Amino acid sequence: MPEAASPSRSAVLRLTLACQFGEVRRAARAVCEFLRERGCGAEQLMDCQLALVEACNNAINYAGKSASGDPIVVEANCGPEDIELRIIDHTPGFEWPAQVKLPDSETEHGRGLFLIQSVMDHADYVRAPGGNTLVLRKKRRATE
Amino acid sequence: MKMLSQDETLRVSEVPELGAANSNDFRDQIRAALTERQKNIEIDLSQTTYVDSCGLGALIALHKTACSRKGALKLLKPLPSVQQILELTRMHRIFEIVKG
Repeated sequence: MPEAASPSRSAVLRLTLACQFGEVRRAARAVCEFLRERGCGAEQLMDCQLALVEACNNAINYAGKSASGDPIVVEANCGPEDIELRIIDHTPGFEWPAQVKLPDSETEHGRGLFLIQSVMDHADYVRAPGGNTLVLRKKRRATE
Repeated sequence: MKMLSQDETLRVSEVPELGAANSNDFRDQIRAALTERQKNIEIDLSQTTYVDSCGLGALIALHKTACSRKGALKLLKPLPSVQQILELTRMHRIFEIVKG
């Protein structure tokens, strides 16, 4: 699944996964290992893993029949100052709400975007005909 | 996953992960295991290293199942990473959580 990794100060991991829930955890583990090897701390790993899983789950949920055969591409860029995750999907996409709120406590769905926004420093969703890209960033801190 | 029936309580343990890939099966297996007289569900999360929003959804569904029987859902010993997600989403206000 991994396609490339650079030994330079800013390393990039690129993964392609099938549009299936079972693939998501495997990709998240690979990204975590990649970030751990570059000195990211436990809290950052946990946050990045959660955000990545929620983003991929969201892409699968929105895929529908038309996009369920298209892969999801995950890119993790680990630089000296921050971590950037890009999740590229081929779904119809959705409008990222201006303000992400928690649903009613009895509602069983709809907490993914809230969790992403809670654990990452930046989230931007760009819709395009060739694929939508969710860009997530988190500042690096000293290894815990 | 291990399930133990004891009087009015169904105790669930050995749940390694609770995410989109297994949350529906997790919820359905527990509901199917409940006997008519059981109203309480206890889930031991001490071995659960990972929960996502779909896993939370399954816990909310089981909370509603227990409430409909006039019982309660209790979460036991969640790890710090799982406790963080429960608190971020304010689920710690609706679930009874027994810390380890």
